[in-house]
Amino acid sequence: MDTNLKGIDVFKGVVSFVAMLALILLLVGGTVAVIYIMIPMFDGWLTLNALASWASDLWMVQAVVAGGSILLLLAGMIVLAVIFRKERRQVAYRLGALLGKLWVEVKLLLTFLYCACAVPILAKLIDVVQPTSVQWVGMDGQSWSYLDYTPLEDSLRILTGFISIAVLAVLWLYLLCLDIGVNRRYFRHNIIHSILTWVDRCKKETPLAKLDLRRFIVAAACTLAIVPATVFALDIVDHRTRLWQYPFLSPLIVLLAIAGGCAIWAWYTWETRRLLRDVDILQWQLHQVYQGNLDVPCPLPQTSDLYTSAMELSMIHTGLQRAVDEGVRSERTKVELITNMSHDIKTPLTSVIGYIELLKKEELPAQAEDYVNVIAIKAERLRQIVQDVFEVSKAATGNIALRPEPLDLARLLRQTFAELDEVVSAAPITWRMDIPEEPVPVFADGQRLYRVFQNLLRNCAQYSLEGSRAYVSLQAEEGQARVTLRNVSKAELTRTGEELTGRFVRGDLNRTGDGSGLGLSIAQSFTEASGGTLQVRTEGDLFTVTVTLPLYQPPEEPVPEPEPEGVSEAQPGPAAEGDSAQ
Amino acid sequence: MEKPLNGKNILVVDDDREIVRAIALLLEAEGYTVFTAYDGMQALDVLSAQDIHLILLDVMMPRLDGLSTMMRIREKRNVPVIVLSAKSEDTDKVLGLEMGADDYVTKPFNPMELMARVRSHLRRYTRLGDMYNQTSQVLVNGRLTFNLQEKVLYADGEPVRLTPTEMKIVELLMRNPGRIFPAEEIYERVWGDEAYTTENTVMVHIRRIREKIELNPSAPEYLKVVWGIGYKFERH
Repeated sequence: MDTNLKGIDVFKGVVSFVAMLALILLLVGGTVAVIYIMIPMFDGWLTLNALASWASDLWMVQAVVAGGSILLLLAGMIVLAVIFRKERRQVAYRLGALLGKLWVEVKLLLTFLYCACAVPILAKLIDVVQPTSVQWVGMDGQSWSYLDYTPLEDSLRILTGFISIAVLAVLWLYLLCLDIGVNRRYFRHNIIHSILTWVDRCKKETPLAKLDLRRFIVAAACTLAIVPATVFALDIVDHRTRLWQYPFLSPLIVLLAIAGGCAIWAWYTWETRRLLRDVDILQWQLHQVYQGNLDVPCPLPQTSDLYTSAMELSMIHTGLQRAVDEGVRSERTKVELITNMSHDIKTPLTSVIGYIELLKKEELPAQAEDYVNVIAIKAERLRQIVQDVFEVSKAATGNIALRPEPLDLARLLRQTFAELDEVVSAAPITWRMDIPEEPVPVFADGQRLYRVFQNLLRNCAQYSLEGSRAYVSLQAEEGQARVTLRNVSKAELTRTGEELTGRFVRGDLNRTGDGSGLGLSIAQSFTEASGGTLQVRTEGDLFTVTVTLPLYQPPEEPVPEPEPEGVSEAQPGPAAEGDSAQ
Repeated sequence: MEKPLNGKNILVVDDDREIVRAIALLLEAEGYTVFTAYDGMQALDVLSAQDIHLILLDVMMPRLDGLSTMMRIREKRNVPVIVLSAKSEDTDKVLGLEMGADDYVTKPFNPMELMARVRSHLRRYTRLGDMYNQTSQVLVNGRLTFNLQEKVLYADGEPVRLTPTEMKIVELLMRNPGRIFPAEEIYERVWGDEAYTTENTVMVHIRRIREKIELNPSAPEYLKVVWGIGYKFERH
């Protein structure tokens, strides 16, 4: 039988449960019957005697069989109830849960109905069963009195009545106990609570516009209903009754009707106004959140239609704050990790470099000397990488101290070229420079900006195609100073500009050349720290880096905000196009 | 290569024994007598027993760290201390120098540069005294001394060979330590010419001077570029 639910055999449970219930009810019935018989007032003995004589009229065998089968049934019931007690308890629990779905009011009503029916019936039964004293006056004038006993059929019917009332009471009590035992919040599930919940849910699920429309319809319907009601009332007062004798009644009714109409519309207006006011408050809260003040507590009361939205908005910061905190923590962990790691690398690297130096002092075979040189170069590169990783991680997390001051970007570029003269002139490329003689003032940390252009120029020198030209130009326009470096890559550029500024990325995918691969990343981090932007574009093998910084305007005006790169318009003056070799 | 200054005792303190050994070998090759210690307490013991002329001190060490050790040393003695540290941040450097270090070298360092620094500090520590009372016509800045009468620049007491133009630049900048000179001004005042494309010309000279006076020309301590503004001589 496919009645297995969640590992419990429901069928067995139901059988066992029914058996147990029947057993209890049988016991109750039996007890009632015994009490009925034992109490002489109810002439139970008579009934018993009558039953016995009735039974003796039948065959004894039949009586024995009937009694035996009843006993067998009882025994079977006990066995069933005991064997499947686990399943029975499950079924009882489910029945209790089912009962819990019924409202408390319904249960009270049923109890009341039972009492209302049972009490009069019980009273009547008791009344009937009592032996009535019958007065009989004989012909001789003597008066006889004797007790009139109930006839057997009536007695049996009365007994059945008692038993069924008792059984019903016990059954009902048992179910109520089951219910209370299983369901925790017994009185919570009542009709009022359900209605309130339903209304609340309706309110929450209804769009505001619909809610307002509904209110309007209610108000309009009430207004419309007032008119016929008033007319009807006036008709009754004036024509159908004698109330016309009171002349103030008609005006009073009209006044009441008008007042009612006004009240309805006042309610509607008030509700609408309240809604709009809540919208205003919500807007204010939204503005606060937009301005970064995420800690606004929910400004609306729980009764407001917009409470849910306001609550959600004020909860935003919890989620957001968590995300931000997590981000900050993970960034800090990252920086700490990199800092610790670079320290851990630096110490053994110090030994490596020290012993390389010692090796160099030794008399070594020519080959070994060559090997030592290779190790020395690689150790130096490793040192550079460790330094770069450290700087990038710090710059990327905004952990660098900046010392910005007004400076001339044109001069800084010329100085950078002069400083890197060895690298620049050693590169097998021709440099074309277009840097204006006039100062291009920017407000930035010179040391960092130097590092930016140092990295960019080194990149140019290192990765340019032999014999090609590299173009460096500086333009000042629209409040922006823009440095553009263009060169043709030696290797095929397989990555997009954005990918190239990522950490540890180089133009060629096989990372065999020199450099840590952090040059562009450092340049970008430092540019951004100085309030500028660095963009990398690749077209075929043409590699273009644009560094944009806001122009500095001395002295009253504050530093202009960096704007997104605008469309460049050719302006007269130093920014004119063209390459002039320097 | 310079001649070894024999008879100078140097104490090397680091908890990494291999680093201590490497530095000791390098120093011994230069002719110094080297004492070693592997933590601050040992360093103090050695210091009380021996006549030490210079200390190379690691910062992160067990038992007593470098900075605390240095504070204890400074309570009694004025011996030059070069701090070795893996921390390369400016704040760490400033802290180390303010605690009384004479120099701050970040790991991993260039051994040759470290040797140069050791030489410089030893020479200043032992020979600087007689420099001052020669004449009042000298400009002193850290380990550099410019004799205005002789027109000679001394680094750690040793004369530096400079060309006449370089000399003029050094004199101009050393007379105004901390002041920033744009390239044009340097050019006009040194060459006496109207400036045209000056940046490269001036820079070439600056770089050459740096190679002669700086211990590490790629990280200059005296002749500095002020990016986007000019050049200056740092006051020490």
